[in-house]
Amino acid sequence: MEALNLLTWAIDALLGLCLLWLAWWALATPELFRAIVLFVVFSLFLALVWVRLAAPDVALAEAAIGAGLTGALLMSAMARLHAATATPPELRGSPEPDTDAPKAADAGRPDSP
Amino acid sequence: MITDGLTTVLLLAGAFFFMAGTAGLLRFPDVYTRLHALTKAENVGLGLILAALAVQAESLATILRLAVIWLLVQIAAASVAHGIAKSALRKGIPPWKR
Amino acid sequence: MTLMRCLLIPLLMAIAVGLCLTILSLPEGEPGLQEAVAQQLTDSGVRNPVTAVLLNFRAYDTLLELVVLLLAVLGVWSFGAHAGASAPGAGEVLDALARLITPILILVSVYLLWAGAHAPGGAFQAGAVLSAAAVLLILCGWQPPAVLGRAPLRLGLTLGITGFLLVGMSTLFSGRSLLQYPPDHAGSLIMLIETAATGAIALTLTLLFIGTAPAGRNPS
Repeated sequence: MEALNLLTWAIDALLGLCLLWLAWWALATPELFRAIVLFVVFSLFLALVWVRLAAPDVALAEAAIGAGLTGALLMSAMARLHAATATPPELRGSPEPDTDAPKAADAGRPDSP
Repeated sequence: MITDGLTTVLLLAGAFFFMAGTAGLLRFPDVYTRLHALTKAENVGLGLILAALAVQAESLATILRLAVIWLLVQIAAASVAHGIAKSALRKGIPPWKR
Repeated sequence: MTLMRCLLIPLLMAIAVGLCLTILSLPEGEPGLQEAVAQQLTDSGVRNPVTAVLLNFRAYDTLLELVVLLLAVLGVWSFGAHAGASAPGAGEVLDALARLITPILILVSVYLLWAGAHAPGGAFQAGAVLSAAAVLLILCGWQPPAVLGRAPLRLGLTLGITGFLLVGMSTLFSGRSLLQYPPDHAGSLIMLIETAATGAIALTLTLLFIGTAPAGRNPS
């Protein structure tokens, strides 16, 4: 079935291009939270690519570790970074715009005070 | 023949719901409405796609596995949506009013 | 800054183009090592060629991978103590989710461990799922019981490597070389190694998430 072969090839090309685009975007974005979310999405697409390359074991490991554990790890690191580098209220001058504050934050977990 | 036709119809319906959910994600005005579009439309879309796969399944065990997958995704999506909405509310993002 | 960027982007593009050309010029249809693995598969004790390669034919590499994981935890611990993961007050929904999902995750992890012998799965995947369950519990404010203090923790971390080494060295006593399993018992030995490795991997990944070493003997 030539059409199916073409369709498979198109899906593979789309996956590859999406990987490259996500990687570029994750590294080029200035907001930290967005970069972490893009990294998790990149791991998800990479798991799909592993499935297409006929490596289901690696896909399972990538989905569990990359999209799950590393996402949580990076979010936790970002929360601690914000807590550690936040200037105390008495030293703040004019209120600066908080450019990389997460807009819709991680699921159910409040930022560390 | 009938199963293939049914699979195609269910897959197309699921894809339509996913597209509707993504259109909502891109076009709705604030976090809460976007969450609403995402969870409702995409859960139904996932259910339809899993139903399409269940039609093609060989054994009852596969169908049960697909049902369990759908149930788990429902639970996870609902909890995550609740968490995001609660976090947005606590950050003071106001709900969009006309 | 812009000069470096002017030099960097052509360099990266050259590397990318060279990589694409190399991959596209590979000979087509090479079978690789598939036939060699398939021939020896019955002697390896498992039916999944990936598990056979990971835990039988190249078992030494897997042993050293476990050592690398342990070194990662030691590296994270070497940063010293800091304010540990702040236990946030978990909402009711997250709490209910954790209570519901954790038994399912443990079941999935055990299934992946068992299914690694004949289907995609294995110790690393099972350990990752188990650590995901532990991370979910920690995010809900669960503290591991204090009886799992320092000594049992360190014992658990090294359990994978010790188990692997013990099994590998036991083959020395029966006249074979290190990690050369007897074909009759290879399946059970692999399952034993994988079970120990799953616990160690889950503990390692969870400790990587927690980040802080447990309170030391001499307070700093």
